[in-house]
Amino acid sequence: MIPLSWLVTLAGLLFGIGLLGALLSTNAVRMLISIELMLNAVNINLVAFSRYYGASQPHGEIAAIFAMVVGAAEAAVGLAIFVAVARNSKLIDIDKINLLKW
Amino acid sequence: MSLEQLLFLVVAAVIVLAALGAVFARRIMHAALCAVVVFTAVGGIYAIIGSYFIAVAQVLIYIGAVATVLVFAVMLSGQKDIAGGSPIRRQARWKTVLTWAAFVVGLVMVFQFTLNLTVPASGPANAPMAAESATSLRFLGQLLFYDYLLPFEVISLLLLLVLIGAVVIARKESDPQ
Amino acid sequence: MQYKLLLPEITLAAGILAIICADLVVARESRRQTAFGLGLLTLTIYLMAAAALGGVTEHAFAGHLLVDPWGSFFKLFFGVTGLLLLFLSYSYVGQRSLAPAEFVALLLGAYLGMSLMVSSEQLLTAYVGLELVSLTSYLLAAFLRQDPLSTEAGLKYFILGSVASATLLFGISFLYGYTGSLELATIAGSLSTGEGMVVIGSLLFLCGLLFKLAAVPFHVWAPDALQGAPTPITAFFSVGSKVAVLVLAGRFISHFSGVLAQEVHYYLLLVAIGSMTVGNLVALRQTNLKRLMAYSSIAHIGYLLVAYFLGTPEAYAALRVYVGVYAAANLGIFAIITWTESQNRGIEIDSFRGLGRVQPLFGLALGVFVFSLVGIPPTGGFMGKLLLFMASVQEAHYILAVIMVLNGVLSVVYYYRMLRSAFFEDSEWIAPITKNAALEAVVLVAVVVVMVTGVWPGWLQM
Repeated sequence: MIPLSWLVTLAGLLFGIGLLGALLSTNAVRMLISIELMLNAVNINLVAFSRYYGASQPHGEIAAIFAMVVGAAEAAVGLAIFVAVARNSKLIDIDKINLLKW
Repeated sequence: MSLEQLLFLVVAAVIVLAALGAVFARRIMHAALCAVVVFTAVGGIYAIIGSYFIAVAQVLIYIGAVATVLVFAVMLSGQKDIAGGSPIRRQARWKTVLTWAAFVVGLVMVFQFTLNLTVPASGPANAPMAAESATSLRFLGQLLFYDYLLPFEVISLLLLLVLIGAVVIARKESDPQ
Repeated sequence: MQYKLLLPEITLAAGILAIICADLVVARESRRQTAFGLGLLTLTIYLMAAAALGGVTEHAFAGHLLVDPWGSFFKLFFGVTGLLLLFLSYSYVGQRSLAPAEFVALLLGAYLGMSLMVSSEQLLTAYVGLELVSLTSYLLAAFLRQDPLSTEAGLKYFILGSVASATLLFGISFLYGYTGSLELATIAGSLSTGEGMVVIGSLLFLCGLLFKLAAVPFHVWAPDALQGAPTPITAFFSVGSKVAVLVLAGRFISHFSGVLAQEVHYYLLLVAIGSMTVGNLVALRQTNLKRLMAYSSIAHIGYLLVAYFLGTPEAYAALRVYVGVYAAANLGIFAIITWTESQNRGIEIDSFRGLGRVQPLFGLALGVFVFSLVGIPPTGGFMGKLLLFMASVQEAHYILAVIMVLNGVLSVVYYYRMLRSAFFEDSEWIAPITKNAALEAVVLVAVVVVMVTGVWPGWLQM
């Protein structure tokens, strides 16, 4: 049996790494990857707590399913915006996109 | 330490290393591959703790859909970026990395602290998982279509709107309206 | 019958589907009329349905939907601002030849999400509503897909907004983990004060919401996103999605006020004062109208957060008046900006030069809106600020009251630059000046709301 604290620590680590990547990276694709890592961390947390409360009340698992769908929709929106930006500027490097002050 | 715990530690180590790889790998394609490893390993975690349906959904959605989208995005990002370049902002790189490392360590310490500190409603926080069998798919489905009917219907509309919006934003100029 | 309680949202969903389907069969020339006509019809029915549920307080859908007067007030608010926004964007969409059906459908989708956010105390449903607003907002910000500024605004909004959403959901996971429930009332009921996991959960949740509100220090994305987005969408961001997030934050804070540590309340106060001051100070240096309005809206969010910090019934009553007047004045100014933009005069402060001479109606209306945003009687903005001021004096927060007044004085400087440009400076208007009845209607409605609230704020509190 896995202690709950192990799972939450893993989720915290993954979330922290994702946050680091999303805020510090210079590449929009890497930012999208980092955001997906953060959502995965959230899901680990939700499922872990849900397992802890037992199979009769799987609210966390349901929430994780919703979070997955939202994550997939987010990736699709991200891709569409990347395509539009790439068409306008030919590359997706945040450092080089600076029409607006960052 | 049971075999299960050993397996968990191995998979968790894979997740953390691959996540670090996704953030720090120089080539963006490698970062995307690392992300796929993370998605797969997270699915493994769900299987280890007995959430089999979530594990399958993870494989279907994250590896089936999100990973494909990520690879598309990488291919769009152009030659210049793939050729290299540091993943982290240039100005004061080490300072920021150190700050964030401290932040992550602090985060983990806070988690440990709070978990030892607090006792959720029905038992000690460090207790093992509930020993019940995996959530039955039938029960999950019933819950989804009775109790969670409202958000379920809304999310179907969300997917429709995202699809339409994405097509409008991404299509070529020359396409007929 | 629980579906009766969901009538406003069902109307919006049906309207979205109808607009998308109608677009497939209607002739190319009449697509814009069809989409906007159906949009107006949908929002009118939505408004009537929300009004019919005005006095009801009831739970439905296994606790996922909560209809109460507080939420119904904001549904009416959304209905009215939505109608005004459609009038505002009609000519804009035509001039830029944007895809009309998709534009209206995405906008109504955002309104569906907002409507759900203000009428749910179930965190998962509220999150799904929030994501519906966010995802459609990212797409709408990038809707001028040939304009690099717009797509870049969409990109920045998308990245930082998604980080905020993930943070918020992480907070929800901790609240769920501690209590085993996703219901706000159940969570608050089974908590005791100051537990570490609860503090982390609520802080992450609040940070996510403050990020979406663009409150200081989470405001960096807002000026870029609001400057680059299409002008009607900028108006929507400042009067639509932000208000919905504000209501959700209010529901959370009012449930947790007994549970949250005192530190969290003072954190909220710091954020409120910071938003006011930073928003007003940075606005002094702006020359782009949309960017200026973005900073001005950051400052106004600060005022609104003060109401939550106080938490008294008087403060909540003041919040209603403040939100109503702020939205009317903002929509009016954005209608004027849309008009000057359509005359090919750009969106700098200098674009207003000679406005008072060329289009006296808009010039005078601009004066009314600016007076209201600063808080000068007899406009409604004065009433909103006065009520908020009195509420904070009542709670003996004198320093806070002084800071609010000083900020009002500070904001005079940059709002005055708009008026100076419109009345005391002049320049040639080259193009033949065209009138726009839809924009004039929006401006007139906004003026009426602002002036009526100035003498009788009670109508927003019924």
